[in-house]
Amino acid sequence: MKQNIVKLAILFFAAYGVLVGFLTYWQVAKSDALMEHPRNRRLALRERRIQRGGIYDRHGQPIAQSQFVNGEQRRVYTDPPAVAHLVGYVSERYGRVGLEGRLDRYLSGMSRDEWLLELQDRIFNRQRRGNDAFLTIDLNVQRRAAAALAGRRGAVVALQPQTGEVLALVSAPSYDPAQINAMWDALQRDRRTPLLNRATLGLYPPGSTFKVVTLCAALENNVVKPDETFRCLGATGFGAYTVHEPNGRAHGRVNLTKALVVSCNVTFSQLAVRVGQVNFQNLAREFGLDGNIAFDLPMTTSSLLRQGSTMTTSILAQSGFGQGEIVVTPMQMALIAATIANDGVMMQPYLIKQIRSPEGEILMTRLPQPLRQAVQVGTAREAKAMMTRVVSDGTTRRIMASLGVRVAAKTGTAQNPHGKPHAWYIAFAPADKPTIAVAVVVENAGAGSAVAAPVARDVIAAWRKETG
Amino acid sequence: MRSASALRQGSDWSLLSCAVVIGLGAFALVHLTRTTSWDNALLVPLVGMAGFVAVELYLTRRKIHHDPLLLPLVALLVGLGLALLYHVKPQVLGQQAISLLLGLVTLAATCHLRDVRALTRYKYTLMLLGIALLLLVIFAGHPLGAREVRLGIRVGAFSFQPSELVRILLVIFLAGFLAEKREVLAYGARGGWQLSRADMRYLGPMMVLWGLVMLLLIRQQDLGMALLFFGIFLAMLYLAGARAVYLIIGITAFALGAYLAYRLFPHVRTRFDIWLNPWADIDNKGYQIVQSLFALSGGGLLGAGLGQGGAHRVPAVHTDLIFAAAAEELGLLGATAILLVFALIAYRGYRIACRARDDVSVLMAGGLTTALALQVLIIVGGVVKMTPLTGVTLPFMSYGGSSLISNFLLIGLLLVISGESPMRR
Repeated sequence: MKQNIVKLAILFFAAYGVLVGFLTYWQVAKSDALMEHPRNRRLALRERRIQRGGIYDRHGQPIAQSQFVNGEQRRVYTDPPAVAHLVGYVSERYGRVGLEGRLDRYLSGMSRDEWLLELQDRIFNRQRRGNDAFLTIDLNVQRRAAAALAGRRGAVVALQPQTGEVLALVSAPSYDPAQINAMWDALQRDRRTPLLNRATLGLYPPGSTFKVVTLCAALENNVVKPDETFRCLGATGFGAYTVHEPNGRAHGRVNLTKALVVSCNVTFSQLAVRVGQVNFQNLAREFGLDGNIAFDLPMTTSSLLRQGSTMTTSILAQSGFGQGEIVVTPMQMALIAATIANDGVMMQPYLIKQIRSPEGEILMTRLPQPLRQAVQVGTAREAKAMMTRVVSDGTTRRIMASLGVRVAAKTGTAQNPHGKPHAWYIAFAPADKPTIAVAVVVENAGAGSAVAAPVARDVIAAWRKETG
Repeated sequence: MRSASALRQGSDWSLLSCAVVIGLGAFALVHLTRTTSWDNALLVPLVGMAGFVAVELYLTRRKIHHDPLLLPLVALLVGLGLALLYHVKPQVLGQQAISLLLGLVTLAATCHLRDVRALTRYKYTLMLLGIALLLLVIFAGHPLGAREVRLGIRVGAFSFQPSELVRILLVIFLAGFLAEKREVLAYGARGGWQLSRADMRYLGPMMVLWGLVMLLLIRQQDLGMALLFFGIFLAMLYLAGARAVYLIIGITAFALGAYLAYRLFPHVRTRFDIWLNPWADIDNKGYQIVQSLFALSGGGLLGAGLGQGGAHRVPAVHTDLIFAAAAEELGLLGATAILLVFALIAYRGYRIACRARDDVSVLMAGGLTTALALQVLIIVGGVVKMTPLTGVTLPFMSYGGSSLISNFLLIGLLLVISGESPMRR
């Protein structure tokens, strides 16, 4: 009988051993997979207890921070509508969007292999905190840009040409990310699409601002003789297609600089055709069109042609002055301005500068990274000089005068099928040693010189004030 | 072997103090994590642990010899169980405390029994009582627990789950019955594999039991208890040295019954299918097991910490699935430790059986230990998806008066057997 007891006991001990085996399978081997199962609420619950890290601007000013209110975390924004598209939102219902999504791994503080930290925090009864993100953004510039766009639909992107750091990234209309759950349905219904980040996702015909690209193409390919002049009779024909100046106004005899200053469509359509479709497309690609530019936020690809379309002479002619089938994002235009400002070197644009642990330890730092020499230094400098004349001799001279610094720029008034033209302005300043490049688009607002230029001026002014 | 005899002699206060400290500490930890605290809750573990000390003192005073490990081990389980309950379902703590005190009184009272053979004299009466209770539940029970299965009977304001008591009655009956018929069972009228008419007499009770188990299975969907009863029966047959043919008949009969139930009854089939793939229907049928697995994953190696897990989402976590909460809050190491405690209790139980002085005591101690160990295996096996999840309580940890009190009765009987004879050496 006793032998049987021993055997029975061994049977049970063995069975318990198998139980431990199963436990190990679920608690160790499959633990991560189960924790990440969409129906498992544990990660979300655990995350709620960790104070989400803050997002700060380049000077350490808070943009978004989390606070505990009655045991529940609230995200507090310094200027909610001004930073909404930049930081995005955190919602248990609608997900994490924008930088909140991109940086979630850091901000949530939920990285793996931190169990020891967690244990320490628990022993010392410390509030566990996520990591902080420091952006390249200058919050004052950002807010000024947002204020300048207030009540309009459009976007502003400001870059530092030498580094590719994004100084401001604004889209209007905006929303309050703190109210995302309450406002969701209204925001979804709103025809002005306030949730869309126009700065990186909005596609617009660039209009005359694209003439700087045509200009660079002409200079790079040596299709213009020195001192060559062009005759503008208010219209010019390319086969069956005729290019018209707005209001049919003839610019008369113009050199290249003058053509840019008066924004002569006839001259630039001729230049594009002279350059030829292959060279024109190649140069546009050098500036980033038709290609993917990696960025910290989702970005739409700007393109010369519609999907499946081919470049005909008439489309090429229109492309020369930024119409045709070209669509670009405001970020793309800011990159073009910054590249010219930076002697033709295109820098990788970036928003996330540094990630620091709650203790201040630097977990990640980004450094400026050149992408490519998009155009030769000489070309860039010539274009820069001509863009400077656009301001000093052109329609926006008065607007920029208050800056007290020489500005290089190009206006745009982009025809589009949705009503009044979009107002565009790309600029950089100071012209001789640029520290900021800006692209502004205001939807259906008319002339770029009247509507978009003041916005760019405000942004430049704010940045000049920051940098002294 | 002086130390061994010393161990066997008296009470081990250091072990019990350890258990008490762990139990109180665990409860205090949970208390600290609560945002809405209920200060009276602290009385529950204090009174409970004091109860254990009082019982131990009482047994020492009365010079009742008993196994020194069982009470501290049980106290440890009870202490952890209270702490877990405080997190997952604090509103049942008061009732659990009352049940605990009743259980300790039951244990102390049981220990006055000097000889368990006194019980086996009434074995047929006790078994009839057990059968009557089961039939009462089967035909007049009321729903108990989350699964809307009729497991309980109501006596006035109290709800009572007879199957918890019946398993002990079954052990007592079988111990008496099998001790009487050992010779026949072991060697048969003719021996070997052949069954004679005499054998049939002893196969009778087996068939009755098989019928009852099948009824439980089909009418009550109480797969867990059905499994437990039949397991106890087979284990005790084996302990009594029954010929292999009995065991084979037993296992075959159960397998056949289970297979038929699977083919004929949709609810049995569902339960089986959920076990194979709970992910197919996460929101309804598979919800409980999936939530249980989520709880396990939340624990990891070291656990989320007492009072920290999300196990309160698991249906029936305060009763049958408390092990899921334990595994989440204490992690793989803590869960393994709890299984070790149960294994130690089983070890002590079987040790008591080995040293018991006669067949009745051996069989009873072996049967009682098996009842406890098998019940742990059934419910933990379900929680970790080793076997289909069937509803039985985890002894000493789950919420439930019937379960707690009957398990104290079980331990009491083991203690009595452990004290029956001083070590023969």
